[in-house]
Amino acid sequence: MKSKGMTLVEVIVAIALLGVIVIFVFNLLVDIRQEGINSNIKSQDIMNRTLIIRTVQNDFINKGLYSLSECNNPNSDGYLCLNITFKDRSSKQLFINKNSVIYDNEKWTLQTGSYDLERNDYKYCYNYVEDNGYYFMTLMFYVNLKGHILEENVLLDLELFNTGVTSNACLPGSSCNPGRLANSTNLCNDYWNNG
Amino acid sequence: MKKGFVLVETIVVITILATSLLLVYNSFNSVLVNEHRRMYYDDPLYLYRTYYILDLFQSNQVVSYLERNLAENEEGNYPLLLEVSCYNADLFPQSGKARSFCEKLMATDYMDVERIYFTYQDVSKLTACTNSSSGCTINSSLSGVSANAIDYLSSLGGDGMDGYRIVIEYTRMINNKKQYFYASLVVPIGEE
Repeated sequence: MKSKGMTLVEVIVAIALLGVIVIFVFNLLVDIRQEGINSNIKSQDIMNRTLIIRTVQNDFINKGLYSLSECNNPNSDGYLCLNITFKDRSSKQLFINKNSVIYDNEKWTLQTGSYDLERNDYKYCYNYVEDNGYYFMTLMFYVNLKGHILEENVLLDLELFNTGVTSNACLPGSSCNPGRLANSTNLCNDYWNNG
Repeated sequence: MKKGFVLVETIVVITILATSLLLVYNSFNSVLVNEHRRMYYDDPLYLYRTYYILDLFQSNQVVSYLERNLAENEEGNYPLLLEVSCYNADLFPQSGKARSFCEKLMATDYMDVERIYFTYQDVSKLTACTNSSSGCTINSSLSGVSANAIDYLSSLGGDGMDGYRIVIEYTRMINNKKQYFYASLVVPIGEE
């Protein structure tokens, strides 16, 4: 007898193969859709981070850092406030909240994660080293991404960095600036080792 | 009587499927490579660190040093890439204030500097050295330079541009894994 059309077994095998392919493609499309959503959040956070770093660092470079101290009146969110004074004696305030940064009245909001300001009771990581008339200073604000969708493969930590000549500055530790930061010169080491 | 696929049909189907999978893999792989570059190359955090390190070197006449040491000749005896450090006596005289500060800066964990290089702004000749068929005769320019750093150098442009650039390799532990970050800036001429 001449065979006409497909046998039952062939139909079942074909449907099974198609089913496997459809499941694979469906999973792929779901992953791509999720990646698209993550990508939007990630792009926004990365762009904000770049803008914050660029804005503050450009002020450090163009205006010159003179003094850095904690504000007497922290913002209502209860997080960190730093008073940054430049060599022309103008000053700007930097607020680090759990999910946002405010600098010179401009606000950037973190979409994922949070600034890790209270780990091990350290409000932030601060380092200040002076040697033979030069200094360098690092302020690091880590972003905690644990439990968030962007846990890996994204760098959102903020760092503010400056070097200069000590005679032109009134940084923490100097007699002109004996605030809380003066006793915080080794926070980074402890912070990072415990991190 | 013919039943099911014959061998030739099976081979054709497998070939088509394999080719399709290879194409998909290649396109996804290029996306992953670009993502990798975006994260580890020229991050603003490392660009500003590089700016301050370059500033320190510039205040110690690094351009004059480069003009003397980073030069080509017909014999190809001079390197196209120089690794420098605070221990370089031509840049930082011993017992000088700048050297002491530089050593302190680099010795700390905060900067995470692994290596500092200076090269030409146009890196095309340097990166040509990675290709054995390029006929590059300038030996040792890339000896001791890591594969990651060579990848980064290859991604830099500057074709036909004069001047120098600083390239810094940083390391940082992320999820208990040592990761390398790279940043590069053009050395401003005439501002020493």
